[in-house]
Amino acid sequence: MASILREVTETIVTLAKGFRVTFRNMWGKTVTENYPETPVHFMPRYRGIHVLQRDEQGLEKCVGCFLCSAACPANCIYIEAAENTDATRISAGERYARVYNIDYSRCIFCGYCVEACPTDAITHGHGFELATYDINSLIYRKEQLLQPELHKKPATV
Amino acid sequence: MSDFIAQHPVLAVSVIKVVVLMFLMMTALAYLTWFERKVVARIQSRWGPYRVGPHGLLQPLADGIKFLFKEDPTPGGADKLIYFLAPFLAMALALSAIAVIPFGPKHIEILGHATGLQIADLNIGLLFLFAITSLGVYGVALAGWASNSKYPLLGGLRSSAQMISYELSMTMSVVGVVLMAGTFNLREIITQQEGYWLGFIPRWNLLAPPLPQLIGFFVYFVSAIAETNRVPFDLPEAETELVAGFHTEYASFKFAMFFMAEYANMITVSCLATLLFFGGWLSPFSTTGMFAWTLYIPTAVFAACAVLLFVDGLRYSTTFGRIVLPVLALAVAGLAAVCAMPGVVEFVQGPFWFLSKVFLFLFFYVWLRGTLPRFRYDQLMAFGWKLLLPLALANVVLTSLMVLVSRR
Repeated sequence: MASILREVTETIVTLAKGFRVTFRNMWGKTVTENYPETPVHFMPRYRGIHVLQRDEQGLEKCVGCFLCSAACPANCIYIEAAENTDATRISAGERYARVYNIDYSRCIFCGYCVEACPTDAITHGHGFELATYDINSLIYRKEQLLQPELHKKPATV
Repeated sequence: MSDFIAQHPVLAVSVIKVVVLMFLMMTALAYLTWFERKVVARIQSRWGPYRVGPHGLLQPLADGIKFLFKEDPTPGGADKLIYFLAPFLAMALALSAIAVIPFGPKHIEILGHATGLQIADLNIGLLFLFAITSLGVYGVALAGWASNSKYPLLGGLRSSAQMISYELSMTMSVVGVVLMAGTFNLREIITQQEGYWLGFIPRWNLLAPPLPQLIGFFVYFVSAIAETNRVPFDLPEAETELVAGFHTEYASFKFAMFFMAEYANMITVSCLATLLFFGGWLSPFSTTGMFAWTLYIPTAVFAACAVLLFVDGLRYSTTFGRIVLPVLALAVAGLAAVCAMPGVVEFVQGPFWFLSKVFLFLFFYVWLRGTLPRFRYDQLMAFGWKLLLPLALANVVLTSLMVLVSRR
């Protein structure tokens, strides 16, 4: 008899606890993002569309080493490197990336390219609105990926 | 036409009442789905529907239109007649049960005839209700059978077993109330719950002598949830195991009809819980002497709603919302003003308290859905047969003893 009573009491108490949790949660804040009316809030290390960074002098950080391309499991990074000359200096190193394309129809946003980069040139930004009606426009060129020259500070990573 | 009305006054009045109640019921069903989605969403820290209209208030309409325009295929090898009939059966039975529910004590005049706030005042109202609600299992079971598919069949099978088991304890649980009231007439069951203990504790069946029907209410409500196939007893449509259970093969408006039948059953069962255990339309407060102000609670509630709606409406993000919500608030404010008018004050008491209690039950239903997980099948059966039924039987025995003693 005593054990039955204890079981009944425990059941009631646990039920009440459960109902309390859900009731309090009802008045709490919602976590749903109100996109597109309000901007989306990303975690700092969100892996979005890549950004090619510049250094303090405004030169491109990328030295055309192909390490990102080699690390890419989806094989979506295409680079053509060229030599820097004193007349046209694009990057601080010996070479620079004349062509730097990322095919976003293949990119899986794994972040291996960012890890592989020896000069921290390629980073993940917070861009995510990639949808398009034309698959060819998913191949982003260097001009689209590069940090604009006006910004001397590196982009938020 | 007027001759016809003069010759068949009862028929004419009933038709008007049926049409009005159908309209109200359909609206209530539609917005119950909205309410449920909103509350469950809030429990899960989501917004719920908010795209269609301000606060998603037009969502039920959008859903209805969507259902109407969906393709409606019949699965190959299905028993066409029964497949077609099952949703109609479920829906018609669910809706007809509401016909005997009295919404208030007062009478209204329609076409010069005084008539109660109830479509049919049967003196076996309670029996009628139980007969109709237990027929509801046919809709589910036949739908599962006729679909010619394994998941619906399992769902239908489960629901027959579950609903028949819980039917038993549900019916037994209200025997106590019937013993105390000595009648099956729902109006009389309510009127004999009138009066207050010490001037302020209502003598509802839940608390009334000779035996407070606490056990009866517990058994009734748990069985009622099982009877309406709601969480945590929604095994017939357990989506994790049976896709959608008995209505897996249904699409378009046939599916919508099952959906509406479920919600209509929820409303009926909540109405019945209110009638039998919570004094139906009776106010929880005494209205005499120092408690006379409680007559104006409906007005106060509507006014508060209007103010909240107005403030919220002015701050709403879309222009449409900023127009619609304040207009809605004004309508509610008008309702509040009407409720304060002499003559109307007494009239609204019954429906207001009745509907408020029903609303609380419906809220509890939704809250329950947001809280508890589904039972395992053997747990469900063990709970029904080993706990609820003995409890209901004990309640019957105890109540009859107490009634016998108190009548001496």
